[in-house]
Amino acid sequence: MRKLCIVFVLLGLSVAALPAADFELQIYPNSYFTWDASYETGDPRVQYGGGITTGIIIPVISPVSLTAHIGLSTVFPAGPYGQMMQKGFTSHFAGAGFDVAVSDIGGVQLTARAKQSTYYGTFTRFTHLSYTVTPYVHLFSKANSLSLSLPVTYDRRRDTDHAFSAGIGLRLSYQLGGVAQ
Amino acid sequence: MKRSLIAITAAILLSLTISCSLFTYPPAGEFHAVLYGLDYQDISNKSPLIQTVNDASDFKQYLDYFDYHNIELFNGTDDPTSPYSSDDIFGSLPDNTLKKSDTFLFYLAGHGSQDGKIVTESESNEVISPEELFSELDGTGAGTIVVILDICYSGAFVLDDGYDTDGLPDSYGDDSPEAYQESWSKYFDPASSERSYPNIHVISAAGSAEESLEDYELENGAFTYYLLDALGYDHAENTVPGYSYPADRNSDGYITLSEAYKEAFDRFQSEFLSGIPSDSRYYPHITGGPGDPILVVL
Repeated sequence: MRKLCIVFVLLGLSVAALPAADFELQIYPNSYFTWDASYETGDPRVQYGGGITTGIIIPVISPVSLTAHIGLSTVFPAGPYGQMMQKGFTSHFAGAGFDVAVSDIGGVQLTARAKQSTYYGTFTRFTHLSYTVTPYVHLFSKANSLSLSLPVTYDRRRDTDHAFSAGIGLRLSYQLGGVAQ
Repeated sequence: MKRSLIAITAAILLSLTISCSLFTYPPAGEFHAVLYGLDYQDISNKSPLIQTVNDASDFKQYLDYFDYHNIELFNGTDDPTSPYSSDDIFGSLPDNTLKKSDTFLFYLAGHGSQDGKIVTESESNEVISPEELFSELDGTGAGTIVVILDICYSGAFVLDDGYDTDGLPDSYGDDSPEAYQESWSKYFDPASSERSYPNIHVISAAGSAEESLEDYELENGAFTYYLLDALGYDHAENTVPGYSYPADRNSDGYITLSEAYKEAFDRFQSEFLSGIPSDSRYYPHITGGPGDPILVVL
């Protein structure tokens, strides 16, 4: 955990040196849905969770930018679902993708993440990739803006057939230097 | 435009919040258990164990307090002239009579072999491998199967094939990079993704290369003692007082397997392991997977 905090700080500092790069911070609560053929019923198992990401956005060709970020997330235990509860887990991850500014109102981010997760209360780990689509709408000015975001993620986990999450987040993007595009 | 987007967002948030409570449903199945305390008394080629009989008896005492049906206890002292073979053990399991909604708990305290098998009381050095045990347990018909083993080398029964990686190495390490590396290589290896017995959940007292100990002062196998302690068993009075369940860590009225594991692990580590030489230390392990069986409804 300490190492991860250091990485967060270093990433923030390194961004300051990049011309025309934006620093981005996003925090979101979400609901987490899983389906598996082994479930007693066909209904999903639903858990609450949330996460925080931080990263950089580097403009490439207007309106497309490259993004890179790291983050932490957690999914709380839930249930009961008959004789079973659904385990909670914490994840740390790194990801990269694209940010497309659709208009002055907002845009959409498409990212892929590599996640390393550990079930609550155990030493058992699992790793997985995930794919996130995050539409966002600016709440104030475009530069140094606060946005409302709707991160929707599909987790490609092997311990369950399908898992996706949907949440609502606040996204702060802060222009650090160069010229806005 | 913005207002409508915010309204849509609020509607989504509200529906997600409500959805969390829509699909849950309380345990509807029955809880069954078979408990073995093998003591190897009067068996010429095996060293006797003293506390395993207490382990199984105390566990039965605990389960009796709750809604467990058909708790079968097999203790080595019940009939010393008739040691338990693998046929006896397998024969005592329900034969596909349990329902998919039921939970079946199998507990065994005894000897384990270095190659990761249960040593039976049979004179012919008969052993039970994880595959043999799981195959028989799968035949009980129960949808949820919990296995708790207080034997040496029992980590071999915590399969980390399939979907996850046991991050607690056999020789205990702190957050080892090897575990990370192993979990990623598994993710991209289709051959290691099969879930052999996703309905079987195991707690082992020790790693696959570790011996577990019984303790004369505790009058139990050390791990079983702290597991029962965590579950709310009063060792001094041999009863369940019924007012304190440390393993119910989130106070939701259910003790799950991972809650019991975590609470027992912490107590075992701080109260027992700290008092023994580092080269004799051993660490309990638990199966991964997203499901967490309910052991006890409070």
